[in-house]
Amino acid sequence: MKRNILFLLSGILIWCTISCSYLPEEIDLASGMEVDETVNYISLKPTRGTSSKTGLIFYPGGLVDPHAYIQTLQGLVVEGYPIVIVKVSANLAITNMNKAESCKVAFPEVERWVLSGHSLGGAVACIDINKAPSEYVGLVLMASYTNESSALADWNGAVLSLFGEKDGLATPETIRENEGLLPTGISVENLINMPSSPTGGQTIYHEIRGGNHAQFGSYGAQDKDGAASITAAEQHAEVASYIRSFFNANNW
Amino acid sequence: MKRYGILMGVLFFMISTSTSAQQLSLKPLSFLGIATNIGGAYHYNGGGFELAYQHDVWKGRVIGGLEYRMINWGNQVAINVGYNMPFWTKGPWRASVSAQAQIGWALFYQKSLAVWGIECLPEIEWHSNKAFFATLGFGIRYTNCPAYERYGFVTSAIDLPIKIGLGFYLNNKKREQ
Repeated sequence: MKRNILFLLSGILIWCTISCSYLPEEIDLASGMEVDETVNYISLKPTRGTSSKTGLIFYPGGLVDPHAYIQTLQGLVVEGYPIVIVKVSANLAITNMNKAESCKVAFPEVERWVLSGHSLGGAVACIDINKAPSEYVGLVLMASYTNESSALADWNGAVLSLFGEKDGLATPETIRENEGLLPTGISVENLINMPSSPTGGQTIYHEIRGGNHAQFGSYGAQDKDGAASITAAEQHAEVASYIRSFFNANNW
Repeated sequence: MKRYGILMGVLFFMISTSTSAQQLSLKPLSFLGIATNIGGAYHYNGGGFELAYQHDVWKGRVIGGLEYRMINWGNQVAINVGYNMPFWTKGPWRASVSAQAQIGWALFYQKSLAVWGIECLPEIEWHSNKAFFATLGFGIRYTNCPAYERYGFVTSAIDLPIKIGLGFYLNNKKREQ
């Protein structure tokens, strides 16, 4: 009996250790953006100029606090794109698949949505699109890939896949091994080579030189990740530049 | 890590050394959120589980336990202390109300954040003849994580917890209260 109780207590201890999340770092909020929060999502609303009719819904990476992505995404908000960051149970997007759909209420004026996610969040974004392909016009993956059960090779939406050269978790090799599960791919090395016309039914891959896994957000170093050779601010700027160019190419 | 070990050691010591009637129960938890500090909103506010140790004292039971749950700011672990008072017993049935306080930590890698809570939970138990019992409870709980204010808007929550559990008597002593 005592051994069983000790076994149970040890189990709880292990569970508590593996369910720790990463806290966000201090955020320098940009002007031209309003942050609002409900129990289900964080909404980032542009407050300058005309707001785009295209919005982006974002799933955080596994065990990462959702506020850790405000810094990465706020550049796009300031330029007029409404963004919703989904809050998920236990900070694991896999526990709240399809929650993005219910978060669209944050911006009723938005006419088309692009789904996005980092790491596990990207995998869940792929699952959501696989189940309801007509609900989204595009997909932005950050250090993420899909699997056989949620393959999107035949989807006619536009896909942008960003990954870091130094990523120790979603390595460039893993991203390339799973290319066949996304629409036909092209690799883009420099921003100037980004397509200028709509990219529906295509995947644009871009490897961020010197970038790693954790710097897609702002939550410090992550266990098992590689060491980045660029700063987090540089990686965020590159992510925002490529998403902006991707949106422009698709007339969003 | 060290403090979790100490908490569990204390609980294990209590269970090992007492000769009074003691019960141990494992209760899966589900929380229906009804409000937070940013306003009222009906929502699912996570699940969890509680390992509860109860020790007969006076007319009721002193409660001590460990709890893990998901909540709006992520995951948290807490030590529960409280008192359970019966108000009706008949045959194998026992109805009671528990008042509990939780003190613990929201689980984050960089630094865990202190959390606290209070709960009132009416419960009904059914006891078998084999030192085993089943329990069902539905109550109200307030939880607060003041330090999370630096990171997010939601720092406190009012939930309606549902607890469904199975328990047993540790020393095969019949239920007295």
